[in-house]
Amino acid sequence: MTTSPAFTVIGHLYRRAGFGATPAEIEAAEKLGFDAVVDDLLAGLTKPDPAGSALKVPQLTPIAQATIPGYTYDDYSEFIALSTWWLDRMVVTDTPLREKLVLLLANQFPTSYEKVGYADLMYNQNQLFRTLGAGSFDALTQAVARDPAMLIWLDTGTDHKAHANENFARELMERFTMGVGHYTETDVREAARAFTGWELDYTTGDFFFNVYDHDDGVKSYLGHTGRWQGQDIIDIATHTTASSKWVVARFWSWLAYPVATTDPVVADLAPSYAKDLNIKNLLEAILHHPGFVSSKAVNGLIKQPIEYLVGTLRLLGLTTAAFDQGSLVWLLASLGQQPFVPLNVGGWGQNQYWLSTSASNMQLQLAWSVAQYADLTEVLDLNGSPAAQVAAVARMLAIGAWSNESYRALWKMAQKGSAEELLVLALVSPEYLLN
Amino acid sequence: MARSFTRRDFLSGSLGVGAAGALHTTLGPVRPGVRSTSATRGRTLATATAAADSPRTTAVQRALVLCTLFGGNDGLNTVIPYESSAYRSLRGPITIPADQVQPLESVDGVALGLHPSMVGLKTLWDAGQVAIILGVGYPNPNFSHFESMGIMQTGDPSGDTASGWLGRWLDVSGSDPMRALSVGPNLPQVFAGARQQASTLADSTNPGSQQPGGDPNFVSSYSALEHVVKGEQTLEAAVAQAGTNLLVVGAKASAALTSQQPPAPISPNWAGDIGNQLDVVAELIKAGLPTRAYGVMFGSFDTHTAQLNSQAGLLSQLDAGIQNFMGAFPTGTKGLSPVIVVYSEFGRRPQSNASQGTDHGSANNVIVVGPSVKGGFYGTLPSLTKLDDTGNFVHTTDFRRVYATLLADIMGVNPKSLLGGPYASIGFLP
Repeated sequence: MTTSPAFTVIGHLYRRAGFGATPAEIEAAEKLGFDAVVDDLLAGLTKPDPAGSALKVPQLTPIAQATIPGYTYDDYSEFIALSTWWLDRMVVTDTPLREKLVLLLANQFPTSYEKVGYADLMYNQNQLFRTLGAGSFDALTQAVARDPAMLIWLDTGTDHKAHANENFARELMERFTMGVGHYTETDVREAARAFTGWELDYTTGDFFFNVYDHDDGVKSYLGHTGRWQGQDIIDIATHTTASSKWVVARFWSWLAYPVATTDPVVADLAPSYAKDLNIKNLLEAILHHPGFVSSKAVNGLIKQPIEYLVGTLRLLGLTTAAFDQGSLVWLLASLGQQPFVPLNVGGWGQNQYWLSTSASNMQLQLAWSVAQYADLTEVLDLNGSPAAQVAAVARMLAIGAWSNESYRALWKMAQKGSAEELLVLALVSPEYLLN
Repeated sequence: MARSFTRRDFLSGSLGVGAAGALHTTLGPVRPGVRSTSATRGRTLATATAAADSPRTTAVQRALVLCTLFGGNDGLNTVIPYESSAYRSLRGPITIPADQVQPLESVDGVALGLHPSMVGLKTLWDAGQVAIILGVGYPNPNFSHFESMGIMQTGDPSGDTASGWLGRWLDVSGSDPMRALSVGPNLPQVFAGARQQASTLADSTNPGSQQPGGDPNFVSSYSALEHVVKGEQTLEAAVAQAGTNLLVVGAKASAALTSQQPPAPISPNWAGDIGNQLDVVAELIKAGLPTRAYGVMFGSFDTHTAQLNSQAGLLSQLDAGIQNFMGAFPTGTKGLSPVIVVYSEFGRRPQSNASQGTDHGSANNVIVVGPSVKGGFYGTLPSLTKLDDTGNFVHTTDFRRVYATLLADIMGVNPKSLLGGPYASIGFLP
């Protein structure tokens, strides 16, 4: 089968700036042109998402109630329901770039339910990414720093004036804003002092500033001296040149291909990002950058497990409703990417990080699970014509072209096996595993 | 971006040689360990093919079980100078009371003991099967989890090396995907070389879970689909390689697990997830697989707050996992002799913080357990009173000396080119 270059780049755009599109959607978009599709995706960052909003949010016990002595409830069941809700939100969304942004931000500010322990707080953080994600990165970081899930995750909420806990201050600089090499150990200690007194009020579930446990003294930090408060610490960090490079490199790596902060494309994009720290503008600059449609970018990323599952469900017209909820979450955990459970504050890696013998094994299991619910009528109707069946499966999965190795293997499967087996094989082909 | 490993990367690494060499005289077992070993004297390993290195002979055929503790385990509350007033004053409310510590012995006049949760390890210590290397670290400690774990796993304190120290061994020892197996979905950097990497297995003793299902016809098509064209360097080829390896590793691991039972629990304590991982490894070793390096991992040791309870729970699971595992290798067990090596990205700050926890620190102890290990303390305890200008321990043993010992005495290779310089063996694997 052959597809046009426009089909290739628009399919690429939909996979990176969302969770993929069906061939029919791609062909419709071809008529609009690449730039118009980018504009449409960007507009979705600030538009309502009717299909996503229509999903029923599971009943989650508020922290104020959960912490009442003697009150019992099953937080884990709430958490599994919440995980499924998030997956479905990505599957059904009308504003895919915003949902993609939520997933990326969950990796920019990785926070794990395993330590936080309250599904309700994970939901609130997820919503925070959805509502503030496309705006100013400084405002977003300020909000994340006061977010109850983060207060628990990085121990800000247990900080004391007497001896500041460095956990949040360090990760703020290292993971969230600037990257290693742009601050000293003294900066970490000084910043930690500024976050003393930042607490979580368990009776309301809200951020609480405890002025009595706050170190109000003069701090010397990143070359600036003053009576810095936590918000000043964040403000100074997000406005550094190092931060503009760090943030640009992160988003470019996630959307196009992995780069270091020293890559020329970062130097190209960082100055305009530094002017307003606006994430929507940064996304626009990346998607319109010539490098985004280069062959390096088109062949530059492997699907993360969540992208793989969500994208496959979208292509096959399914939602998680067809599945046992716990088993889907377990499959994603076995692939190393459980929603709301990053391995640590470093978040999830890229490409080779997702490739291993056990990952190949779990991809197969996931493919078998999904394929049993797929509508295979079209493939079955072509029984007796292996080449046409392979082409039909390629169309189901919006794959533009097969390598010789894959084509021969699929053709043989079509000839000897069932339609379901053919779909499973296509779902674990190297072509499909690429994003 | 992954950087390829070059000779140049090692230049900075080899600068540490002088310091490590100077430490040599302070090392060696503090007491002659009581060695209870089932291992017979062995033969020259066939796997050593490091281009510039000549193969070494090892006395015992061993398998490494590398246990990574994520988050930075608090070594000072694991191996505890329980009679030291400096210890009590640094630790304040998170001091482990002397009467709860399990005494081991004194090093340089300082009495050291084990955390009260580690009852299984104490039994193994008494049997002479536990080596504890003190003060393991590197100059200018890095306090970031990721950077420091990267340094520990690549063996390069400059942070400029992408390949893991075991990954580089994989790069020079052929292409068999069975050489190294890591349990769990995410491959740690230590097992990633420039060209080769360890295989990964599901965290389950269920044989069926280790390989793809489907009938022979499907598996044969899958095999054709994941065929790697020689010389192909794309991401697609990397996907195909993982699939190809799955067919080899899955079949062998399934057969091995089918032939074995998980070790009978000896410890009264719950061994948790790390116990499951160690069970898988015990079965694979006992089934006679040729694998020389296994990886297991366990978190979360980042105890910034209320650490007394959390660390006790984690160490209890680790201890139960190790005790159950070692119970599967009684004296006289044939086959590869397992060597569990427990390490973390860093130790924690000697001075506790105000949240009854500890912040990121530096040098830490490395614990080595196995029937062919020469038990005892190795190295020098870092000073509790002369901390560095960040309030942390000054390391006394270069971490690459631990790796040099493991590479020489388990993999049977000359570690020099893999570690970027000569690092003297520590001698816990005679």
